[in-house]
Amino acid sequence: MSSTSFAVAVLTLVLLSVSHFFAVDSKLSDVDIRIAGILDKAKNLYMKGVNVTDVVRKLDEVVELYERGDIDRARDILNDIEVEVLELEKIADNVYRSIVISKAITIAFLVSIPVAVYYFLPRVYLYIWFKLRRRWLVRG
Amino acid sequence: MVGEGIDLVLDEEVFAVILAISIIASALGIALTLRPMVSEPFTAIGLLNEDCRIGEYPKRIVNGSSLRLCIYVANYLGYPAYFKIVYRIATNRSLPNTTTPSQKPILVEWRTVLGNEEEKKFPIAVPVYRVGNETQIALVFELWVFDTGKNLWVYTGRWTHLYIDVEV
Repeated sequence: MSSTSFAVAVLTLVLLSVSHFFAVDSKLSDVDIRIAGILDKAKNLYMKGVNVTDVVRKLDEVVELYERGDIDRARDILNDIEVEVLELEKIADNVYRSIVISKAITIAFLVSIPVAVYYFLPRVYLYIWFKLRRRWLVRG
Repeated sequence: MVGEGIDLVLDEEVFAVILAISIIASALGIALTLRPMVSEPFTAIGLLNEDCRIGEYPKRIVNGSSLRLCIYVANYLGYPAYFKIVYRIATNRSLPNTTTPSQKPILVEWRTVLGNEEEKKFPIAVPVYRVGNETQIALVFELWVFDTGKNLWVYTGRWTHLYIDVEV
């Protein structure tokens, strides 16, 4: 490969690797970027099982305010949401752990049902059978 | 069977059936517990009339006037997402498809943030005018979602349109 074609290949690779940056919407405002950042965190929190309804509702309010041109109010609410997200991030791991534990308990319970049926059903049935017939007399 | 005495009162076949039912119920319960939160993620956009109901859409409008409609958006992606609805006036030849948005200019856009399994309806007013010599135009509404990883608006492939005759 000649040095010129090698240079062209390298340049093409570099351009390809950064091409997605050119695709970024030039109309994105700082509010858009902040909403996206918070939403990304909210998405991760939601995946961990944290309730982010309030965050989403407030973000929607920010979008409405921004569209109406009330940028200052939108920024104020964004600040509040960022604090709220930070608080939620602190409890996220505990929430996730408790969900995993509750799932494990549910599965253990479900697995134990057939075992319990196999072990207890005949005994319980026999107990009830005898209980219902305790006044019966056996004739020779 | 557990014991000879039990054999006398509880039929083995009945016991086997009950045991099989309990195993199936248990397996089903475990599958439901471990199932993914969203098996088929999707988004939806719909166009409603000015009372936010399906049907009774206007058929004619005066050139250059404003039309009141209602937009419906739904998020079933499995996570909260930031959407924008883009409005364009197109013709038969410039409609979007499931992979490419319409190439006509954006006239109005609305944005909203929706949680998972959340839906929203909101009234809108859009400008309507003739495109070239076409008397019948299509009011096109496309749904875009914000890719938070790339900081980029991405066309979802969901769109809806309303054909309308424009009177001069």
